[in-house]
Amino acid sequence: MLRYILKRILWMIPVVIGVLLIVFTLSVITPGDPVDNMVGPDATVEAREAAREEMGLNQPVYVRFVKYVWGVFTRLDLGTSYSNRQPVAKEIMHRFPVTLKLTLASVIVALAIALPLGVLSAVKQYSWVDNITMASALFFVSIPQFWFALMLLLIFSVKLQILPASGINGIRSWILPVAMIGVGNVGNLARVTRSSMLEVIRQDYIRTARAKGQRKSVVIFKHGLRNALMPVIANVGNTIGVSLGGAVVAESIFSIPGVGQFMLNAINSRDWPSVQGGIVVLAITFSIVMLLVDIVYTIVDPRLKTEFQARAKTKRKKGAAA
Amino acid sequence: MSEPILKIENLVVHYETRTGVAEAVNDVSFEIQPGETLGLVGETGAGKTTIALTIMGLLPQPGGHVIQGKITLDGEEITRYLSNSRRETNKNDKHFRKIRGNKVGMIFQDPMSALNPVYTVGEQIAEVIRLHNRVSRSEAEKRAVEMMETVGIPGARFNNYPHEFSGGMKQRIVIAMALACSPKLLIADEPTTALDVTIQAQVLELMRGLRKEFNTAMLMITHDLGVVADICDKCAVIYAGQIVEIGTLEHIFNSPCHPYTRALFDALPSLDSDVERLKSIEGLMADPMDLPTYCSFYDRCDRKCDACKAGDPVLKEVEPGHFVSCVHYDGKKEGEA
Amino acid sequence: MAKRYTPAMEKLDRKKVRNKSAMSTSPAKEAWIRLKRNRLAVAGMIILLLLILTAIFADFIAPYGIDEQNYSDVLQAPSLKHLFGTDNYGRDIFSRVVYGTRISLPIGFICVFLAYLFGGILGAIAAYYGGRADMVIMRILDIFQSIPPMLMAIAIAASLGTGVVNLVIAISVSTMPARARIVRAAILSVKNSDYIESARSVGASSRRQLLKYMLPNALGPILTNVTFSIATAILTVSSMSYLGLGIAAPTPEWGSMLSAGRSFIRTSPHILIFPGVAIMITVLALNLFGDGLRDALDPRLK
Repeated sequence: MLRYILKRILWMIPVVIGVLLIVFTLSVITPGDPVDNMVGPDATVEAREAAREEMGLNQPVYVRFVKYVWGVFTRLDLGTSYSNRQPVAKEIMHRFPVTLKLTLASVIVALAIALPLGVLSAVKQYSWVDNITMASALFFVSIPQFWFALMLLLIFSVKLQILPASGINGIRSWILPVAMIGVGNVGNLARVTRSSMLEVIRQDYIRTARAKGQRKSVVIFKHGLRNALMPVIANVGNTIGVSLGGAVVAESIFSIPGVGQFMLNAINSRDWPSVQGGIVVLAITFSIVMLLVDIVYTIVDPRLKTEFQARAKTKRKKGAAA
Repeated sequence: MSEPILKIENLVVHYETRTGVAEAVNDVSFEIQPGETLGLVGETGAGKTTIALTIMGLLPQPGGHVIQGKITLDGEEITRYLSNSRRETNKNDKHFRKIRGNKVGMIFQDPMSALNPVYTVGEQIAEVIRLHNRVSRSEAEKRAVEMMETVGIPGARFNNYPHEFSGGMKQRIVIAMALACSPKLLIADEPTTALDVTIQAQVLELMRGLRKEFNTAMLMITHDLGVVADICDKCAVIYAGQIVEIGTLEHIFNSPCHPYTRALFDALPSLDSDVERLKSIEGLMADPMDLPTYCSFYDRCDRKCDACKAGDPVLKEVEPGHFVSCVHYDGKKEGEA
Repeated sequence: MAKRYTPAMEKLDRKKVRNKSAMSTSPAKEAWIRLKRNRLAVAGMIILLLLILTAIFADFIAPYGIDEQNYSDVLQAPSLKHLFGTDNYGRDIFSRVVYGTRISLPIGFICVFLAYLFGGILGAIAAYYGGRADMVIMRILDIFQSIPPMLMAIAIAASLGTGVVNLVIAISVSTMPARARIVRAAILSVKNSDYIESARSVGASSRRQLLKYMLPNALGPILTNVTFSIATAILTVSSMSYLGLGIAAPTPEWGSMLSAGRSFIRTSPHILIFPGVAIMITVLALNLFGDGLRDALDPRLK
């Protein structure tokens, strides 16, 4: 168990290097000379070369990559912005909490809405509650997020004028962005919860629990939900990935000063180190979340724990024999 | 005779499905005395499990309905708690909850899936104890350990999860769970079918011992006449939701009367005679969605005659305590035909 | 020997098996019958068909041209003359929404096709050869998947620049790992089943096995996923275009139409409504159809 978690944490190192390689490759293949964006089109040849030298762009590609990786791992250095010559890491770090909060808030809200609805739908299969829930869930997964945000803006900010249209000051300004990021997740998680719950309440152990004289509601929540949660937990990881993407869009629509908005601005000014840095930070965040989900999963499902113990045991035996 | 633990009178159970009504149990009556074991033998789909679930008040919903009949458990009529309206459901379920696990313990067919994979076996046994006894958690756990020892599983494995046990051991745990509150009646729904032959014998042996120890009456549901011979006092043969023959073990095994019962015996391999091929029963069981108005076994019977089509045969006593429902045994016992 | 049956029961079981095999001579046909019985799935299918017809006959349906500007009719609210109103250049929004089907649907299809083509090859290799090849491929996919698909698409589009081709590359590459996994899982699930065993025992060569036995049986879950993937791809296309990373302004792509209309939210909100509704209906139809397909192909799930 511990070995598995340790292994899983160590695996993060190649993942980060891999992510760096991907974004670095993208920066290399992007057309155009980055120096153009730093010094402007009218700059002299000398000024251009000086800028090139300053950013280390005159070195061979592989040297630049190794230096980049080295910088990330030793100094958490994500490079220097082309546009304002500031360290990218610093720029991102003070924007990162907003993006993380936005993502987590929307996932938590989505879970809080979707779980009870999914369970209720499954328990009352084919009832009107089930039909309405599933119909809305289908709508929710089909709505384009950004359009949903525009409609929310139109209704709550423009027409009713009860919620702010942009920025992030005070609790009221969180409502629309969280709703926008969460809408698809609510639909998706409710559907997953329902189908997994339906599967579980048909199991024999549910009947066994009823045959013990347990209340039906207790049977559903104690014996059913814990088992039905497995696929939901597995899905939460993906949900967070989708929400990180959603946060980028939300930050653009609601002008929220987060990593996403920073990245999109950087894309417009062709400031690659900043784009790169944003992607790397969000990808690492996502990887850490997936790691946590995996760990939670092994804790919740006793079957996995034994599997790891058994595997460790056979390995030890093999070692002893050798 | 003393008051029977379980008395079922004229029980009729239907399943309503989208495609029609399945007549799962048709006018079944029998009783079980304290400490007695009744074997209920029949093919898959004959209505055996439905009877068990009806006693537990666990008929699949929506769809399962008790149309008529009376079930008396330990002197209390429980059929009146069967809900007809949604409003009564909660109140009635409360009555049944006192019966389930407490007065009646149930062992299910497949031990592999009967235990919840995310709780330890100890917790699951302790759960039923705490439900029906006002005891502390530690007391319940102590009793659960005792129950585990009783069924031959070391108490040290209290904190193990179901997947860490073999099929036979899981079935022992299910048995421990069913007996934890010393029920007056134990319903065993094909408890050995899913197990290996060697384990089957062990589990049956265990059940025989425990039945004495706990002085529990038992309803043993099976399709295996060997199991019946092994453990039962009385035997009822059920076909298409109807009891076609019921009597003591001697009655059924020494002088089977109903053609279906006989066919079941003919289909068993015999050690004494050198039969080349076993006789099988031709055809399929009557479709419970479409039962004939006459004897349901007519199509497959090797003794069918015109009289068979006259109407549904009723159970007739052919000798004291031995009942058969077949026109050929109308009141008197025929010779060894 | 786990079960002891009476011969009668065995016979019953045999009969059941026989009936089943008789019915499953054409599982595709059976699935089709189930699909046709599902009203929601049929509704989804009809909407899709209508959308495809709209795309084909857009020239006849749209009352105005794609770029037909009319400065005397700028920002008109919906009326009989302009069903969905006009935008800031006086272009008829209804016509542009109609022409939009020619962009969203094909791009959605192509993205999914490409993602499945390359992902499928990787997944099939991983599943079929197993062992080291499987491990290496899966680890590489792990790394790719540690960047959420939307962010990956943004990164690729940012690097390559805007335009249809770059957008298609961005979406295909970012969704490819997930498709590879689905193909791998589908093939693995049938690889070890009995009919492959029996094919091997009669001496089928390995390539023939892969094509003749595995693919058709692995196809069910893949087909369902393809439908859902197209829905997601269409959503991503419009989101990317909205962010300015996809298809640029004069093209009547629904997302970029919304992006252009964003500044008129206070004065002419009708610009923002109809393109979004069009996206939603398309995605909804695909999801309805996908749900029906899943239930039809795997009736156990219901």
